[in-house]
Amino acid sequence: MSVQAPPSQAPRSAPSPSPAPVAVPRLVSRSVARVFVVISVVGVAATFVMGLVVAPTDAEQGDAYRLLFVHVPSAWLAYLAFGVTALASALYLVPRTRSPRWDHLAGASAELGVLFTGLVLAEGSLWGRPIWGAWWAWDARLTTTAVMLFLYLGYLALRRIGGSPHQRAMRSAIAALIAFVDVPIVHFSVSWWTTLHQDGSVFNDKMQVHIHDARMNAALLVGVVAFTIAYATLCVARMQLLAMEDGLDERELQLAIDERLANRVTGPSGATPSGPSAASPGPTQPAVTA
Amino acid sequence: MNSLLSEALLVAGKDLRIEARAKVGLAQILPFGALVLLLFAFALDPHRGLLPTVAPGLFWIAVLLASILAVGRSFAIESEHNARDGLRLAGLDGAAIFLGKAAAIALELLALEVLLLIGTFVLYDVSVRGMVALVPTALAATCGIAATGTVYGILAAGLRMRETLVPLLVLPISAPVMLGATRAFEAALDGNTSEAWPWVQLLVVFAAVYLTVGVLAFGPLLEEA
Amino acid sequence: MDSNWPYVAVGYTLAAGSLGGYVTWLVRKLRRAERSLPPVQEPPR
Repeated sequence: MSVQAPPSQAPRSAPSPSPAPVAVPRLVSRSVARVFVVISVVGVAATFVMGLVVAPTDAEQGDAYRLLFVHVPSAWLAYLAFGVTALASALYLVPRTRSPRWDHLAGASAELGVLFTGLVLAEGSLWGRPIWGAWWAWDARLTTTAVMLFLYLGYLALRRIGGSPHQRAMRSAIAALIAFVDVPIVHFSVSWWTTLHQDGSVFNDKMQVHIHDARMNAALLVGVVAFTIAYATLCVARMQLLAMEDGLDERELQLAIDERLANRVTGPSGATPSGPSAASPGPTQPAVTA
Repeated sequence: MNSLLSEALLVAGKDLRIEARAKVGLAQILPFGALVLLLFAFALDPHRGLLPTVAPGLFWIAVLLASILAVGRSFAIESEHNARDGLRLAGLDGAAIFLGKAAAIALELLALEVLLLIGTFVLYDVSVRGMVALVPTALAATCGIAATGTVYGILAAGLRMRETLVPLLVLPISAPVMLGATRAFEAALDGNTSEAWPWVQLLVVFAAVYLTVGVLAFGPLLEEA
Repeated sequence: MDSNWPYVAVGYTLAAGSLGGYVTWLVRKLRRAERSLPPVQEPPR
């Protein structure tokens, strides 16, 4: 595995005490990033303002419905992020399109997905309590979203466990697709289950929110667009961080390997190698282990 | 195709033979399942009359939790003495290894389920008005559980923290199985066999999907483990 | 405004807090990583 920048190119030369630095290419230029950040901040702020102030008080639902202006975009993003993670995972698994970037996208999107899924469930509860009097309802949408949260958490936990970036990527990619396939099955089974119970329709009626006012529609639209742009911006930034962390890990590993090899060159004079206990070198050397 | 089957039988036979000698399922996993049933009785107070109603659900939770142990055990035997490397070098098809291991887990679980079901009937005072649909339900559900368990088992094989990771991965995936199996059992025990069949179909679809996933993914995952 | 304000307030605060918190964490980690790695070439644009 090469540590010369960019990581996919030159073969490794003979080990030297200080390895060449890993240069991680930037995904987007600084100016483009800045533009997106500004748009995201402005957009999210606008959503908040429109949701809290501009949109009128609803005749039926009072002010509690204002939570929808955050709840709906979050829900859209929770599912979008999930889909992006699955798609990126599939792209990584196909050998022709394989690239570390897809793995980074999958991981970044999943993290944001957890964030938005948690937010959706919280907002939904906060909305449900004043409107239907219950913090929770076992309908298809909410239940599937709750299951999705746990699928995400499992995926993220899996990503944290070691191995080379490629191993981690392969494992995570397959786990993501397994989880992705489950979501429609869960949704279908729960929705079918609730239709078997007559009282499910009472909840469903109350859950339909009628957005008729133009200002409400505008606020909702702004919210969805702004949150999506914010998601994209954060996703790219997180991908950048993942790429950099992989680069750092690679460099640390190379440092440890080089140190170990350097110690072997100076001889088994009792100098205890401080790197990870690598396999013992050549047959002429007595077995030196830490 | 024929070699796939015979290879799978080879792997399944190996796992079952190891189990027959070690008897971990009998000595540890079965008692665990029974303990779960027992603890539920403490939690839900038999005197309140809840238990007969919720018995199917409690049964399947006990089975699901026991299946996590069974999967862990199935892959623990591969981590000793570099057995996983041996499995790779043996030249068996990844799909065959998957089917073999899943089949072994499924058979162990089915045996467990028979015993736990008897325990459920006895401990929870369940009124049994029909039992026909129980068998296909259990078969389909167990295949689904075994398939997902085997896939996640190889995914997590060799990883540190896998004891806490595997439950976190397996349980959300199994939500449809819990739902379908419980509803089917409820319908079956009430005597409404016709209501149970749609759920059985759901379980069959789930099992088919995840058996396919396993057949495709097991080989690559074994290479990466 | 009606009596449901506390719910709305908590909801919006949660949203702002979690998004803001994530952004802060991300920026901090990016800065730290950038310090440890050498400067990179800009992408072709």
